[in-house]
Amino acid sequence: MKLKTKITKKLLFVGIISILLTAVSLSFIFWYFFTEQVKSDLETCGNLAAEEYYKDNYEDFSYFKENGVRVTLIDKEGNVVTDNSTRSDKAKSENHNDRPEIIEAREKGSGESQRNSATIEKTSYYYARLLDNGYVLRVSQEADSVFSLLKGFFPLVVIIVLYVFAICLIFSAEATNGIIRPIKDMVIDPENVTYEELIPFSNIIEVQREKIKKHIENLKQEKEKINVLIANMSEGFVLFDMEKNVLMKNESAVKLLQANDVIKVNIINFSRAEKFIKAVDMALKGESNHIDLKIEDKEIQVLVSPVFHNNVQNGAIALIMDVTEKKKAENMRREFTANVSHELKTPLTSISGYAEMIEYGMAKPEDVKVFAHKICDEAGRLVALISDILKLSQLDEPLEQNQKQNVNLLDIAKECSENLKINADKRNIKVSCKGEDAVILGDKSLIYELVYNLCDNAIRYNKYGGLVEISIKKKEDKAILTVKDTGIGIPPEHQNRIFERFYRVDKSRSKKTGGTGLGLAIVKYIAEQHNASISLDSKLNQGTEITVSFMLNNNENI
Amino acid sequence: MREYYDVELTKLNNELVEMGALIENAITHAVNALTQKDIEEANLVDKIEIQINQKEKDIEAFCLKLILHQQPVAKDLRLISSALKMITDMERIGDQSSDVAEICKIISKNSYVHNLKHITDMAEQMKQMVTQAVNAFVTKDVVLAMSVCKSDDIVDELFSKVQCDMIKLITEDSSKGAIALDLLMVAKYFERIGDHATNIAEWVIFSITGDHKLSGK
Repeated sequence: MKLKTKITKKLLFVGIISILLTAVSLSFIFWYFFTEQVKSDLETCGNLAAEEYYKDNYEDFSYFKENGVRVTLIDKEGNVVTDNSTRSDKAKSENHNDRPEIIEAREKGSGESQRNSATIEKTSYYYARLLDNGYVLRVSQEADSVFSLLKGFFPLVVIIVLYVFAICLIFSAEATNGIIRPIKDMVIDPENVTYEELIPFSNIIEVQREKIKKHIENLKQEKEKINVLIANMSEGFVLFDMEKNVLMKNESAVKLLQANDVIKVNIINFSRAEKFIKAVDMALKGESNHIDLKIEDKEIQVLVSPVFHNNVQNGAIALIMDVTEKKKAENMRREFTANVSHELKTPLTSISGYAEMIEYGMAKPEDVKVFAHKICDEAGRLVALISDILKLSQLDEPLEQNQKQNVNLLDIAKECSENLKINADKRNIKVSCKGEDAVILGDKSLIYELVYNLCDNAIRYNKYGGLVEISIKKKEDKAILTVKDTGIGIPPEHQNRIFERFYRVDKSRSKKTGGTGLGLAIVKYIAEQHNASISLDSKLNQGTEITVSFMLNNNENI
Repeated sequence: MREYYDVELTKLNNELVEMGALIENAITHAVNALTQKDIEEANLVDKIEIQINQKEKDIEAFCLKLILHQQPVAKDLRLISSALKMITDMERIGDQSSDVAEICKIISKNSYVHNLKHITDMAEQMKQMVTQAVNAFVTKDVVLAMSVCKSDDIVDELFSKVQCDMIKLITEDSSKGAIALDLLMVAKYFERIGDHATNIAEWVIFSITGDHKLSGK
């Protein structure tokens, strides 16, 4: 029940009760005064009648009769001598000496009494007076009793009650509002309390309110934190409820799965990838699992796990990762292992083949020398290959700072061209080395290896009688090493792959030209370790130019 | 009562997207069957086609039930009536994928070494159209749906290129006539799938805007 209704009802109740009580009390008071008035009137009448009697002028007291006053004269024996009323004779003949007012009059000279009439609404009032001759003169009058008074009042009271009720209805509503308003206001402004009784409540409310505010603030912050965390994850994140609705997701998930950017809808609206939906289904059955997807050219791995809260599963979580790079690296490693085994196996097969032929005497004595030479060659290739692989594996470790020293690129370039002169001369290739001194910070043997490999390639893949130009230049804070040849060049489709391990442009030529297929891979690793950048410019059949730019070391010139 | 109705409408929405996913799968497998000459893939299409037909019946019954019980109006009525139309187009796409798969089963025995580039381009294009049409339905994206309608021209253009290819193939080597006809049929089915995707996109536009003219046709 509303407080307002209750207050209105109470107010109305109190109003009606007070009106009724007032009416009743007023009736009694009026009646009392009225009775007193009647009595005193009767006394006057009695005295007047006595005066008349003494004057022998009473006749039958008809004057009194006209005014509704009954006058009775009673002799000493109590018999009625005269009665001006229209009562029956029988009533008149009754002995009146036992009447209280007569007895009292005989004792005290005057007496009075009242008796209810035949009907309840009237009361008869009597006044008796002892006359000098021993007779008693009695006057009486009938008047309304209290009940008839009330009865007369009643319709009026009802009208007033209705009237008051109507007014009360209007005013009680207003009054109730007046009472209620401060309580309502308290809800908005707990500090402004009108009723003292409510202050403890308002204090409690105020404290609770502060607590709730803080709590909400905390929750907001937590949520914000989680949101930021999830939004900035490079992995995709999706949360599902038991009905497979997407509750939460981040940008990465949408991007990786090429999903629709929707939320609070069934999974089917988010992504239609069959495997993904099946994985989520499984997770919702309580089994965590992972799947690999291929979306466009990306390899995607998805981990889906059930989510438990209070030991009851209430959803599933999916983590989506881009494993393209990882897969690529894995493939490269696998390829490298396969390549290494293959490259190692080829010379060994030749060696063991020739050796077997010699062992079983299948080779003619004059061939033995040729075979031995071939075995030597293949063994040499094997050694070169293994040393290259070792170098590469060493290069996987990052270079330590104390390994670095000041290295003059020009010195190294000259050293390389000297050492390769024999090779170059064999094919009538001219190697020139020019440029200015450029000091860089690096590992001398590695830098030598780099320059040597580049020059070696430039000679190896050159045409007969070609040119190799090594030049060192300084440009701003860079030392630029350029190795230019007039060789066979590299076809454009191979250009971005030649730095891969064991990659060869022309696989059939590899045997003829020698080399391990690891040279440029080594160059790339060394350059990476020295923070140097490599650029390639090559035209088929015209030549290749490889540029490596190192950072100059200006601090300490030699 | 209305709450229940909302749930039903969401369910209808999800069912439609599920059917969309099924036709996407059917197409993908049909295209794989063609390019990889893989009979297993072609058999998969048949299985999916059965599912698609079942789904069509389910959605149709569901739509009629909704109309009967809920007396939908305005947007809801448009959704339901477009759903009824869309499932027909989707079912046709399923049928055509299965037809493509059927042809693939026959021609996979022969070698069709010649250049399939235009057909695979077509496959790629119409696959994208179907995906985008379904996506437009999911995200209620009118612009995306309109772009689907427009890309139908690309498929049509590719179809005429395939036609030229086939004519060339037959004139060069008349013994390749049979396979050329089969490939032309495949291309025609792809072109039809593109048309159905356009229809779906148009229904998506209608269900959102209540206007048929926006599709630009």
